[in-house]
Amino acid sequence: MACEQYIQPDTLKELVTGLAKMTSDSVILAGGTDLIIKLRSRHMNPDCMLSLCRVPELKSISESGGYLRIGAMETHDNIANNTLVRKECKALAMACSHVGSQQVRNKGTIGGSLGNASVAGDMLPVLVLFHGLVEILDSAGKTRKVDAQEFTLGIGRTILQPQEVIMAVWLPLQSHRESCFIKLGGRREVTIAEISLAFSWERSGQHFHKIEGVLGAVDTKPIYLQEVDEILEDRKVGKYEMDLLADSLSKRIRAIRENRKRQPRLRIQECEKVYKERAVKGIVYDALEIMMRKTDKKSKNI
Amino acid sequence: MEKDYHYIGKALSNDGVYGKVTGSAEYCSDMESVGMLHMKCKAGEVSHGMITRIDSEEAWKVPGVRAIYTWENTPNRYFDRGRVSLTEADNAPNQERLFDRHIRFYGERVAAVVAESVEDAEEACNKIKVEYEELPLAVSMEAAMQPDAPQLHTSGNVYETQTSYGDYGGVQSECKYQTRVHIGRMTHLSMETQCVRACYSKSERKLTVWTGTQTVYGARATIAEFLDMPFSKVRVIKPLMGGSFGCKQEMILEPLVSYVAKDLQADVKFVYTREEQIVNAMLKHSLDGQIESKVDREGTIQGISLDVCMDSGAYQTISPSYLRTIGGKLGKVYKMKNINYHGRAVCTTTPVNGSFRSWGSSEATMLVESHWNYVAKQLGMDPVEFRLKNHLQYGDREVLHGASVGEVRFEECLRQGSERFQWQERKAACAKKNQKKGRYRYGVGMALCSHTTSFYPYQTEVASAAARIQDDGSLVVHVPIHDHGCGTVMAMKKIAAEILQVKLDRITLNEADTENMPYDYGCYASRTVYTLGRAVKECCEKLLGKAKMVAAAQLGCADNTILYENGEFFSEPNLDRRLNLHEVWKYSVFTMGKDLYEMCTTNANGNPGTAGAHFTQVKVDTYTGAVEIEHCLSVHDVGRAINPDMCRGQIGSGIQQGIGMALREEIKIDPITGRALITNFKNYEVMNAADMPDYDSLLIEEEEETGPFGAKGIGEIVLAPIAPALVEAVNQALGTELTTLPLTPPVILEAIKEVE
Repeated sequence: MACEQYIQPDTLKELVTGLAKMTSDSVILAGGTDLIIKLRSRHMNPDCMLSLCRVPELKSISESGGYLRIGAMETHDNIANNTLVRKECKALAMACSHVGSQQVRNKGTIGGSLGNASVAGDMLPVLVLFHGLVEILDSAGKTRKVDAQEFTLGIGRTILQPQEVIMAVWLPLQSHRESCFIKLGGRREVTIAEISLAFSWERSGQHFHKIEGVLGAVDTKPIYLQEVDEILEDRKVGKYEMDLLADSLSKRIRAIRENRKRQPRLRIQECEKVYKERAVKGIVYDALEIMMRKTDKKSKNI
Repeated sequence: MEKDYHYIGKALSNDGVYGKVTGSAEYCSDMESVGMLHMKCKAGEVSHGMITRIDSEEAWKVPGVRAIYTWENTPNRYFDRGRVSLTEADNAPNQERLFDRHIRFYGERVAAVVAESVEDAEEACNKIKVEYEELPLAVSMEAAMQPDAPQLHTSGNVYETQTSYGDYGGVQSECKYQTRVHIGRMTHLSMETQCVRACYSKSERKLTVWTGTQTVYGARATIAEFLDMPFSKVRVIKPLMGGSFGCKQEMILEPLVSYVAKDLQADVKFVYTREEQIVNAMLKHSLDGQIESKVDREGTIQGISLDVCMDSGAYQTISPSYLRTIGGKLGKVYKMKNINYHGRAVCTTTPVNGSFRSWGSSEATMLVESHWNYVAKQLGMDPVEFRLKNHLQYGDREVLHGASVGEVRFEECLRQGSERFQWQERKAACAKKNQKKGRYRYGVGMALCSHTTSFYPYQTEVASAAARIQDDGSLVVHVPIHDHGCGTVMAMKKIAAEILQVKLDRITLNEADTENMPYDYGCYASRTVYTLGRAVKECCEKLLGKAKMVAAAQLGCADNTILYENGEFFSEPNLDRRLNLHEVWKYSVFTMGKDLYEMCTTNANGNPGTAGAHFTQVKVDTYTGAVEIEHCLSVHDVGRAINPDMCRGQIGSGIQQGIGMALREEIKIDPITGRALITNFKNYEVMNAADMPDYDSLLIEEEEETGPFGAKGIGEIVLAPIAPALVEAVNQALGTELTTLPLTPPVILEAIKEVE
């Protein structure tokens, strides 16, 4: 790994100037927990590395015009422990609290995760769930906001152009709604999602309304789950509903597998190939059990 | 039984811990010198083929490149990576060269670059172009055993061995049982990867090699012979080692780095990356076993027959010996009247498999114990009862070697273990919970095993130590220790401290160095504390005897009246006149004209078995296939724990590794290309602290007569019983008969589906 130029702007203005020097061979350093590994293992020699670590505008979590604004350089750990996030967007706090290891969460950032666009990333499913926006800054100093759903194009690919950078993510504040995020991996901690599931809902008594759900890590992009509301809306959720939803997600995952041109190389045995469509039932049950728990929204137990 | 010791049996943390925790401990890879050169290897890009052309022109243009080595410019000479001593020349077949034109697995080294920096060497490696003529593959053992299979070596692909005792075939029995087991490949996961530094001194024409090896003498023999140098011109030093689990006991990089250092007359260092460690060191063998037994209706074992097929990978290396050892362990736990063992070690076009902690015990135990659990179930017997009926008793001779198993305490392990674990209560509680047929199912499982404490009777169990009192009364002990990071240095210091009553920080005890230490085989067979500990103890006792003679002269009394307490010599009735080691040394040297030192060699002609049992309880999620270990207990018959904390640490590490073997870890091989599909830890999710159970441990401390302070080995046996116990617990929970490791969530969900 060698890099011809390293730029570390201290202000937004310097950042804009720096962006103008970026080419398609340049890289952006936003925590480095994915980038450094990638540079080493692929023997990449970028022409320029732009570090975002010193720009104040990229940090801070605040309320603004009905939105929760989270700077791109906020670390997973900061987000997971932020009281505003925990109150307003619990699913995001839950997702951030299980990204990588504690060491990774201390360095890794939400902007970095989004830019890396891993299929197994935990940030994007939550952003899609909340109908969040991704704010992008370009080398002319202009910003634009795009729908989270449109941000990722595929595995490792986003709509970001070489001279663009993520400024912040914006999540609409909906205090009357609750949410949760849960992932299934090989371990409790330091694990990559096999499947992730995020829900948000409104509660009245034992019933739920306007339920939304997003399924992550099973396709190149998170999947918005239309059927969640159809199955769960205004019902007292029991085994029948859980199984119905699990079955529906299982079918979705199977269809994705059957449509894939190339099967994942680590899934050699047949039982490994069909694992996700079988195991999704467990995560559906887990998520719905969290939903049914009458939790205090300020609860710290995530 | 409890004796009033100052150091032995006291829970003290490892004295090397300060350096490790603060990161200041110096490992081989931390070593730097002015002008040091660095090495990198280029990995081959075919799974089987002949090199037809190597183009290094672009590589030579990288600044800082000093040398490039390939099969074309290195000796056509073979070496044995499994060497333990000079006399053991036929331990492993000599199949390896520094570089070979014939590439036998994907990733095998095809060239090495030596440069002024690691980065330069790496860049140059990337610029070397290699062309190959591809050869047909033999990825599976089945394919490699076909008559028309491509032959990897002139000696063929298959090594075969046969052992028997009694007449298994002739046993008339109504009940015959058959099971199968598959074990997957694992990586050792030592924190430190392979690293060797070799420095050639032009003035002395001598080579000094630093390597975190398990045998400095084995390394020296291999290097000196390969380079055709006298032993007097090769010195091997063992620096701190960051874990082995078997991967530091073979000569992976020593011959190569030594050759290069001598060739360039330079100081050269080579450190493996994690990827290289996984692909180019060695992995734990994958194997398939078929087990058959004859057991009478009362549950008495009449005989066992085992057929094992072990994947050696591209080179046989130590596999033939490993294979024989699996067979050799069949008679060490139960009374066996008839044993039949047939094994094959098969070369395939895949990465090399080799030495792993317990050297066959974890494999033999998995094969046999999962079988006995199955048999007990068929007989309607409790697995603990089945074992109580069949285990060996104190002093029994194990039939395959005719050696006594010593005071091995299987019965205590089974009885005390099942009581402490509440085996019966837990078993009943699991069955009750499972009646609900809920999402989670519960099960308990157990296994029994044994392990060696020395090489005897395969080799004479010799060990030597020297000790000398220094002018200030502090102590230097010379004993060729190869500490893996598990605290054997500390154990030796505690033994010396106990005898000579010297504080631990007043003892210098360096690790193995061929130039200023007595000979030793190295750290194998869980022998260090038992064998070398005994040498240290005897040496210190003799030194104390000498010191007492001096003190007697100094105090003017008979030497057999000298008492020694809290580091002071005195005699009755003059209790006020006391001499410490410093004063005795001074008198000895300056008045009597004799230095105070001792050297002694011991020969522990014994190999008391250590027994181990593991009990575990699992909770299986039938929706996701995840297995949670709710509680587990390991019981070990250690004789005496020199350091109970370190014993408990070893037990925990055995449990962690055993869980990996049973449920999680597998270096997957592409069934078509033979490539290792996992080369880092991203997709190799080992058991980490968050999922690790809060394990219980029980040490049965009945002193072993021949061990220092009664101690036996603990380092390897801790792994052996874990996997079969866990597999049984999962099978109990689900009503399955799974024996294909690892039991990953997909495998478990598949089995649940089949049961339904």
